[in-house]
Amino acid sequence: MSERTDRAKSVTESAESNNAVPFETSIPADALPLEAILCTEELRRRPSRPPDYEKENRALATLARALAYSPRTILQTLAETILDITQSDSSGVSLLTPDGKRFYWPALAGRWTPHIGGGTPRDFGPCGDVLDRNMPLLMRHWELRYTYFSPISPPAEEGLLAPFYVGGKAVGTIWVVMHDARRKFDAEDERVLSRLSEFASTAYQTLATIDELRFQISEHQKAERAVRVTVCPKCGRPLTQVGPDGECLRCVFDWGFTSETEGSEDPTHSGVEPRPLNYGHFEIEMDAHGVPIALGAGAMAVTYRARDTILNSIVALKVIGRKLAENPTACARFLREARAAAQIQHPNVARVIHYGEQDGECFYAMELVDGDTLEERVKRDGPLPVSLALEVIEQTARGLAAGEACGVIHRDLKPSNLMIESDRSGQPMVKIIDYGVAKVMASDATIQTQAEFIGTPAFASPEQFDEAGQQQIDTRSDIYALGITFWYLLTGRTPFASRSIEEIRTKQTQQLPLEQLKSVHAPAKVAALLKSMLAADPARRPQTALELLAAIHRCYPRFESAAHRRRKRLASSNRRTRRN
Amino acid sequence: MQAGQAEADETARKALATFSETYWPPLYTFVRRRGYASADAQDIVQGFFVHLFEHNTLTRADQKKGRLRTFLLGSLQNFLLKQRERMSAIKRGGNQQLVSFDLHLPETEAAMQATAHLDQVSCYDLAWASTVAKRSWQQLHETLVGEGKAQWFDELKPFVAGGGAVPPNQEEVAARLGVPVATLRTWLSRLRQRYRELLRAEVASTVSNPADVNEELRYLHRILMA
Repeated sequence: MSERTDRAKSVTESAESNNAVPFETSIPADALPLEAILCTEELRRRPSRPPDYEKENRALATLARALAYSPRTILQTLAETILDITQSDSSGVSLLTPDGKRFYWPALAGRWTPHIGGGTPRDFGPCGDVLDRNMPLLMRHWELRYTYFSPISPPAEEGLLAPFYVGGKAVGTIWVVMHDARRKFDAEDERVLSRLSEFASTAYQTLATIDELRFQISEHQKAERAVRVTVCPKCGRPLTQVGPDGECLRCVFDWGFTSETEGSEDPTHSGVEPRPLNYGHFEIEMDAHGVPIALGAGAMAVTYRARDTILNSIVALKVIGRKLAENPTACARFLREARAAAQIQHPNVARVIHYGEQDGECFYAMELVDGDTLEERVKRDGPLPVSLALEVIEQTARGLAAGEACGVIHRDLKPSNLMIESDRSGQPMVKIIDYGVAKVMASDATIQTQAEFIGTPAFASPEQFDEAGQQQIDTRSDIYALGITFWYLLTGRTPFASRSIEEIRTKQTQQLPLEQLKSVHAPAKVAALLKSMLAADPARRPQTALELLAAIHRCYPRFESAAHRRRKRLASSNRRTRRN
Repeated sequence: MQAGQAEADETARKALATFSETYWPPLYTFVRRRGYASADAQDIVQGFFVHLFEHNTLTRADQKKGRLRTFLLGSLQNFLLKQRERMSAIKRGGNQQLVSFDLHLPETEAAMQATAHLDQVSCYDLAWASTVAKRSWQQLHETLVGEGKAQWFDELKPFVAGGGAVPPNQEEVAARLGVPVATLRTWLSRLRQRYRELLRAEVASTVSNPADVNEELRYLHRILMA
């Protein structure tokens, strides 16, 4: 059907562009007279078939359907219907071009179908004679008269043609052809042809009227559009002030202006719905402008301040990007690590308290630490005093020891993953955040982004760079990262600051830049501790977190008493917690 | 020395061209609403700019211009009053085009046709407010393109700009970009903050007293949202 539609469409196009085809334009003087091929009278003499009204009705129903559902192919349907009802070899519709000089064939059926789209000059073919006489004509061997007729095969043995009217005006013909003498056309054929032609004329006229109306409507709409002012779907105001890309400048100005004026903030202006953002039973807290309060953002995840709507407490809610969440392996590993991290119950580790998935996003809630990250602290206040730095490292090592006991390593230890707050007595309290979770994000090479990769290498151990050694990463890697962190806390920079991973790897195997430590007056024991933590070979570092703790305690005698007091305090606080 | 002078002239010419191009739409709108045909209005505005620059009016007025919007409108009204005397200037302006406004003509005409119900001054003010909004919006675009964030801006723009398209759904866009919805909202907030600063700066450049910025912003907002 669609092929037929295409063909019927191309007929019109090719016929209209075919004006230059070098046909003879009129009948030559020596051509056979029309009467020599005309045999219309025989129609009356031949015995006629009885009318088959049932078949005729079916044909009309087919045409009616075509008009309703596929009006653009009504002429082709007409040709096919005529072919079927007259049992002829070829049938078709010839229409005059708008200038009246040529006939073109928009619809053909039967053996002449391949000639669809062709045509003849107005006065050089049987159709012109039919229009001249304005009546149905029966002809035989018409190629005898139209000698220079474009070679069309097979030739017509006999052809019956009837005028085709639109709006009372003959604009073409419809016709049937037999290519051999198997059967002769009769009066019944003429009647059926005229009947179907009449129907098709009405249909065609309807279509022409519809086309004209459509054209008028479209012109009207065009004119209306020119004067009518459309409305901006966002602000509902007339779209009269538009920017270079069709932006509504009212919306643009309003968006920039409303946040200027207190109290007039309407989050819908920026497309921000005022409804709360919930992840499970956690509701992200918003600021006065309806913007979520973000505590931190990385390449893969963002941490928000959120409220646990059941316990009515405030938590840190980390939402993982969809790119990571869409990776089923990463998601499963993420859950596994989150579970393991949730096992660690230690005052120096921010505990994971909930994990969930929602609408393709993974999230987990953890204890909210009310303080700064050590990165923020150093950036704001500069390097820490040695005693405070040691305190931080000691508390972190305790957290690592707790993780080690649960079989979990951090793998992305760095100042921005360590938070410092004050406990009730005003003493510093360190919390390791993102325990275990960072591992999933950092190890998934396929989803790792450049931005994230740049941030971490400065704290990564040599074995973390070594692809072959990926499987052997253990607490000693965390100890190395803690060493770099320690260095950063003392000096405000990392020992192997570099722009490329390759450069970092090379520097890691070289001598440590100990002069940096001298400039901050770090005691020799601290330098020795750092050297051991930053040994390129994991076997030469403290082997466990407990071993590291012992080394820390040894390196700074004064620290011993401070650590002792704090340990006592922690122990009593833990006892209270257990009692509760 | 001569080369230096030529360079200075060229810089001044560019500055004048930018100025003219920026404030052409409201001035043209006003003259058209006064009943002048499009071609005449173009000549008059061109002549008006020539007049301003020849008499160094802008520089003189800079210190005490108050608001550029009202200053330019007042000057144009005076210019039109003395139009007969100014005919030669208009002719000169027509011949010596400072800058081609063909680019702005269709949209300015369209905007004007659509606001036929407004009086001349309101029409001018509306075109002025649009010019301010458009300029700061374009600056935002250029700044972000300079920072390599053109694509980011294109994604967020539909949330702000309205126009032909229905505002997009945050969840869908967040899903397409692979970020949490909350992140998208944060981005929108940052973008808004930047635009707000540019809009303020744009308005600040048209008032001589910094204390007038808020009032002028409020006035333009009221005009646009009326």
